[in-house]
Amino acid sequence: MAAVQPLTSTGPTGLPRILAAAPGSGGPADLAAHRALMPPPPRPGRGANRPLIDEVERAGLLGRGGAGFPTAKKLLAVASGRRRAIVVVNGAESEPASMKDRLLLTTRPHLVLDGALAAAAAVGADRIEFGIDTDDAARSIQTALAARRGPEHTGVTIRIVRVPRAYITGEERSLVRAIGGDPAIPAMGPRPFERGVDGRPTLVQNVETLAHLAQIAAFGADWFREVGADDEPGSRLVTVSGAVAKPGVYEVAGGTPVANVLRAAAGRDDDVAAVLVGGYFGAWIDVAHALDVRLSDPDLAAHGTAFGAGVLWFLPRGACGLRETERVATWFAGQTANQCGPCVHGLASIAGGLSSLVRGGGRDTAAQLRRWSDDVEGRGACRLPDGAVRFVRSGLKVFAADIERHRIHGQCDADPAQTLLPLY
Amino acid sequence: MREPTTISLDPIACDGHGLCADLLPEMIRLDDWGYPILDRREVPPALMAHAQRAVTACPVLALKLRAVDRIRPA
Amino acid sequence: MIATQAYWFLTRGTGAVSLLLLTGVVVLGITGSVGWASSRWPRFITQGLHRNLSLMAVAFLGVHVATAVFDSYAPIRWADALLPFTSAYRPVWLGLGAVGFDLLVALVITSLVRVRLGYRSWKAIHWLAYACWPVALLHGLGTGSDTSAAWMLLLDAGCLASVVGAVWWRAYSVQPPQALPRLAAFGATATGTFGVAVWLLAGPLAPGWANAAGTPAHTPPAARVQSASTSLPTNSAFTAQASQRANADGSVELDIVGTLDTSEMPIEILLGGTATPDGLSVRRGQVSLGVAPTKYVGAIESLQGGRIVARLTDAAGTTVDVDLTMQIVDQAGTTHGTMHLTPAGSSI
Repeated sequence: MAAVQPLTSTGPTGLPRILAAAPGSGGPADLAAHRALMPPPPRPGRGANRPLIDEVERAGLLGRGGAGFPTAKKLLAVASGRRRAIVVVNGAESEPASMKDRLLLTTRPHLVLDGALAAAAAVGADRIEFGIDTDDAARSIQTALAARRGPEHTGVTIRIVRVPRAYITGEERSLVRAIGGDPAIPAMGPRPFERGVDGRPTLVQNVETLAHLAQIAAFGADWFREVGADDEPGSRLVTVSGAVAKPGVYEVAGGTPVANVLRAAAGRDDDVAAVLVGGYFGAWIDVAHALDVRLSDPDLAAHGTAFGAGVLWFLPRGACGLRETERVATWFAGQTANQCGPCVHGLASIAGGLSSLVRGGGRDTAAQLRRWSDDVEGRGACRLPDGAVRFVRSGLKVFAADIERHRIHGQCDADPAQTLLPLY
Repeated sequence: MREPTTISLDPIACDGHGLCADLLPEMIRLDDWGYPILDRREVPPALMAHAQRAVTACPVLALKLRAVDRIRPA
Repeated sequence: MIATQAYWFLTRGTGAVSLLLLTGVVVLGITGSVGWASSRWPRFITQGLHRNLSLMAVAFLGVHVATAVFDSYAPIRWADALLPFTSAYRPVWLGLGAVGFDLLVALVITSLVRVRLGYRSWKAIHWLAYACWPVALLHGLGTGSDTSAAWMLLLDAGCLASVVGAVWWRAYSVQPPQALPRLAAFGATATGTFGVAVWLLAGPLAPGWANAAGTPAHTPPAARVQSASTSLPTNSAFTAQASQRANADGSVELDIVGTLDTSEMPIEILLGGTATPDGLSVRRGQVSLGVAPTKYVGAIESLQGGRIVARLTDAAGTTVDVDLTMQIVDQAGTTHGTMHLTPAGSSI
């Protein structure tokens, strides 16, 4: 049974960590440049690598795909299956405002591959499937794989599957079905960790989570916890945009206050009206509260959101948060899998209700929207309606003043044609 | 069924036919779009026959009676 | 014989009722599929009625099959009801009945265990309902004794119209609206109805159908418009009065006039010949049966002891073979006899 790699090399001190492995002169696929920074991952074997799973648990790694589920728990569940496990790399970056997964895949493919192999070692898998939704990311992994053939042959089958770019594709069961050649929408039935691709226990893990897993396997849990907070250990990637001069992907320590990130991205407190934390699956926080909030799941939960996919979007002062919320809600209604009545009809009605608020509908409409949100929550086959509803509810709360302004004047001071939040 | 039972719904199969709400209004009501909202509590013995009828009457068999899962938390 | 008649009536009656019930089942099934409901008629009523009528149809069909088997008229066995196209009696048209019955049994059983079977499998088999009903209709038209009767034609037309209307309703209710189901429904029902009408006129409603359909020779002609009272019994006893008359030229005529015991149908036997010490030497003779317009008359072909064989024909050309035995029991001329009839087939 393979043990954790002996700590012959030490990880980077402080930040950045996963963004520290900058492409060398040979480009992102340069294996030698990557190996100079970290040793090869543990070799996947027949059974689970318990010491590795224990190390991940000590590290306290949480999933960075949006759900924030403890990674060690997932590894254990999949490893406990009766049949040989499969690893699925979730490269379907559903959140339109998020760029971190694509960045990792295109600029640090070897780190992601190391992570996938470490995960395969942890659960005893013999197959890795990459679910990727953009051509450049697929090409990048393809090239990196070619560079590894020979020098780092592992005996694990690695495949790249192009999946459609849609919000629902990143959902665990949808992705597993897409890998199997079925439509990329959820179906009822057992969770992937029990029965996934080909009916085998399947580990679905986000690209960034695997990057951290690779480093934990190489440098250990203690190293991982050197950065970050007790309730949010390690580092995390955030995609910062909106009212900032330097938008992009930043690596921050867990528990960093939002204000720090704003400043790092060259944004100013006065320029911000509200902050969207976690993506469209997250929630708006009023600027008065947002800046002091620490980026950790327990703190964010108190504000009705979570770290999620690591999106921090700053609404500029003078922009209309109500309009932006309505745009996203309408987009959400078009992103359903078209399978569950309450989601399909509920999100459409909610989007319509928000449009009516933009045009000047009043308190009755807002009350109806809250009622519809309550009715829709939890009644789909997946969590898409829950995320949409959480986003809308936060918008109704944070932009209450905008709703009033629209009701009284039929509009607000913002430019009605302005579209800020990214959608696809 | 003797053991405690709840009604569960397959939301993908459900097409909003609404017979269930007609047959078990005590525990099933329809939302604004015609889809059932279930009372997730245990089915009382007095309503068991009606619950069974509602399950059989569903044109797409989206409803099921399930033994309450006490081990896994909600 | 009364018992035989009763079975025949029951077979026809339960057959007609079954068609009515099955028509109701199809219409209700489609009413459920399109989701029609009102405040006074919720969907579970449609569902419940659909189920109950189909079970009733099974019950009526059970009687229909049993009476057809028990009826000694036609050679139908139990197996013929389940194994299509194996019967000696009108194999194709009776066989369709067996097909319909098999389909119905499959539909009903799968529906009774629907929850266990699962929705997809149940639904796949339930599409066979669209095959079952037309098969039942064709069976009735092809096998039925009453096909040409006005009331039966009206019933058939009514049932056909109901099902056609329901199928159109179903096709037009597809959401979102689609052209293909509508075209298919219209095309299929129009072709089917036209086809049935043409076939009816050329087949069951035209003379000679019984033969063409494969009615075995010893079965009385079934495709007749007249009601049961003028149809001929296969076996009958009769009572008559014999009177003898002597002619001027010395010939003797024996006139035996009576009625069949059960149906009061008149029978007359005329024998002509010369008197002999021990009776009558018959040179010629004639038998007649029934009353105009269906009076069968014919010359005697053979006479031996009290046994007479004759071939009788009526005005329409229908021929029947008579084999009778009689005995004059007293001096008053009281005659008792038994008669056996065999149809010789219809004329062309």
